[in-house]
Amino acid sequence: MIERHDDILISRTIDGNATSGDWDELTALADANPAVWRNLAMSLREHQAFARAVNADVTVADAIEMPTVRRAATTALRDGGRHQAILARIGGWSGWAVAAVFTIIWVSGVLNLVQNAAQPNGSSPGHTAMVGASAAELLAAYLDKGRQEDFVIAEVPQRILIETRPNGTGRGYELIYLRQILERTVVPDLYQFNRDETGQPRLVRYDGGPSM
Amino acid sequence: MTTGPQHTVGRAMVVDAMKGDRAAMDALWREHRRWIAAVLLAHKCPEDQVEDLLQEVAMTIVARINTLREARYVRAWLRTVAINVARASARARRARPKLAPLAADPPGPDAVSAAVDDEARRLMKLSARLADTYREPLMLRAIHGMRGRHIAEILELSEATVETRIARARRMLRELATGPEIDDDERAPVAAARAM
Repeated sequence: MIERHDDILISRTIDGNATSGDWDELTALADANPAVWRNLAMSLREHQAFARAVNADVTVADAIEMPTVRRAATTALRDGGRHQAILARIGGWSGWAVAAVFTIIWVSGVLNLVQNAAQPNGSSPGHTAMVGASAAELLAAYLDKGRQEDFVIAEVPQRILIETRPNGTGRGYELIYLRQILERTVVPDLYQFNRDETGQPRLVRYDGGPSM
Repeated sequence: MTTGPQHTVGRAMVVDAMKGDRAAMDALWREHRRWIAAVLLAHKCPEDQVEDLLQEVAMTIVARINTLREARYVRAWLRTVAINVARASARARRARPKLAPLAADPPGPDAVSAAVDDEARRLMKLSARLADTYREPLMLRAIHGMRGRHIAEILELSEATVETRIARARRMLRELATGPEIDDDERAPVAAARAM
């Protein structure tokens, strides 16, 4: 690329780094070619606009603090980086209300689960085998069954650290974290909370295509 | 891990952070996190993922700061961490075709974006057409309080080279801004071809 000295002089001026010699040179160039003044004005305006955009975008960093425990960070590092988009996506669901049909399906599913659990001796074939199983084994069984039935996609491997504190025994740390399971379901309709012209909340049917 | 007194800035703070001092690491992060966000953006991280990636950068810093050779290289080291996180994220996005449509949502209205005017947003979008070689120093320079010496340390370049790249980047951005409007699909890597 051909170097243009007026670019350097204009850039220094924008950054407040121009010396008196630079100003003399710039003035001389502009006397010979008034377009230099125009370039200076446009560059200054663009720099200010660009800086507004950049500084607005990087303010997101102000909300990010250091993780509190090295061990937690190491764990997250091992698992992290693979499901960032999913996690971001999960946040996007929070403003949505799923249709009543879906709610009914979910409630009936929970009721079935409770009823099955309440049956003495259990009636499902796998129940006896699970007696005495640990919580981790039960969860693993749930994930396997869910995958078989195509409603569990995966467990998000990255766990979100909520709180850390020294363990009560005086050794190690107690970590409070969030684990998430990515599931799928099919519903006939979706509704979104919106506001009408008077500012009152209302449900609006979502009509945005196959992906929210 | 120890907890030291309140730290401000400087090489001593970096040395303390390298030793695992909690307060020093906090101070180090707060001093540098904004420009680290700019580096992520300069390397084409989607805006809606910057927050997650910053958390990953922060975790990497905590876990790996003891691998920093010398305190004076801290800015370059932080940039390397950020770029590695950005690249790993890009690879993960490419390797996850099944989940790609989930991430393809249009970003919702966001307070920060809404606060920036159309001209600013347009220039930001146009800057994506610059090669990283030019876009990165330009973005770093745009951050309030960022000096040429700091940018040179981050990029491991001389101050003169940084000045030259920023001047060129500004000219290229001006040419893009005053040139004909073209769709994203039609855009050519003109700026990339000019990179040194």
